[in-house]
Amino acid sequence: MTEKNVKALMVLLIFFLLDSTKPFAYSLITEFTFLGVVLICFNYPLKTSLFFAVIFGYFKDAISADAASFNLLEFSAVTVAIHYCLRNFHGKAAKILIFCGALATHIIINNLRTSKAAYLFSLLFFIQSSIVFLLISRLFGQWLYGGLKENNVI
Amino acid sequence: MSFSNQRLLLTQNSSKIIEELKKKNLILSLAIRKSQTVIEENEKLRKALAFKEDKKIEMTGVEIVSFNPSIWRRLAIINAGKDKGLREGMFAVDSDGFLVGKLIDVKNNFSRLMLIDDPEFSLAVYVGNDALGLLSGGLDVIKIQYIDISDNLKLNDIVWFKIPFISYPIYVGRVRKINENKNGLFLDVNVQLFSQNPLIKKIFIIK
Repeated sequence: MTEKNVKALMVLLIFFLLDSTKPFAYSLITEFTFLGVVLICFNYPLKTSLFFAVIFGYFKDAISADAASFNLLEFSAVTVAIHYCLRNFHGKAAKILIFCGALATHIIINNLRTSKAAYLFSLLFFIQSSIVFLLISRLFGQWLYGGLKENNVI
Repeated sequence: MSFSNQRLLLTQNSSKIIEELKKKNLILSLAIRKSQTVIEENEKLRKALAFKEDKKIEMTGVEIVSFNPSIWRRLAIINAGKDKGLREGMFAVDSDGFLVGKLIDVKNNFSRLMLIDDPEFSLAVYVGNDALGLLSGGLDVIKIQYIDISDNLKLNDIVWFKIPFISYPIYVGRVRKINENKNGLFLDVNVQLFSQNPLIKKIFIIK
């Protein structure tokens, strides 16, 4: 495993721990693991991103005790979709749209899954996740490349 | 030894002393913080004990060790299971005796707790004196459905429920908003919970 992959693994592990222990309780409405998977998609090739998406999707399913491998499927599908879009659309605006699309998909899927539309909660999730992603994207970019890289979304 | 050397030695000694004092200060402030946490914990346990003795309810103290990683569900994992006599359907309260959630899955040494604001949470509750309705959790609002329109509900009415073998009510929250249902037969009631579950770590399971 290369140094770059180890960094990705560490970041995802930290994010998974943050989601499981919820040090900010429910006041911070975001999912770090999902944001981590999207972040990896923007910075790593398809194979590596898919590998991490499957692993962490499985972890999430295991701790949630979901009978169906819901997160595993969702993370894998989102990873493939992001890579497909990144291959066909270029530029910063496209990347921002891809990120927003991934977030909107996650919101719609989870609202359907809970079979209750939580409009205010979904809006807060979108806003707070975008802000958190902006921060982690910057920090991760600096850690990975020692500065900002053009592949960063924002 | 010249005067300047003496002065230098004195300055070095003083900076060492200052460094030592800073360390001691840090250790003391950490000790104070620790004792403050212990005092808070102690206060919560005292409250719970008073509730238990006052109502003569058999309870087990447990701790939340982890949460469901999804923000769309409000499920927690607690550090007790069949080994402490827990069963599915048992209710959890905080140190003030307010409802926190119910057990949905009990394993040998851990259990899954569904918090009140989980979208799948539901419970038959009373509002005010005897109006009966169905409380259902949600991420935006916690609602009580199927309250008869003839029931005279008022804002700030208490929401409570009863466990069959316990003669005392367990309080859930208070009425925050009352809306008429679209079909005009029932009222939709929004509830403000008494228990602020996000910060709870220590909870009690009513046996």
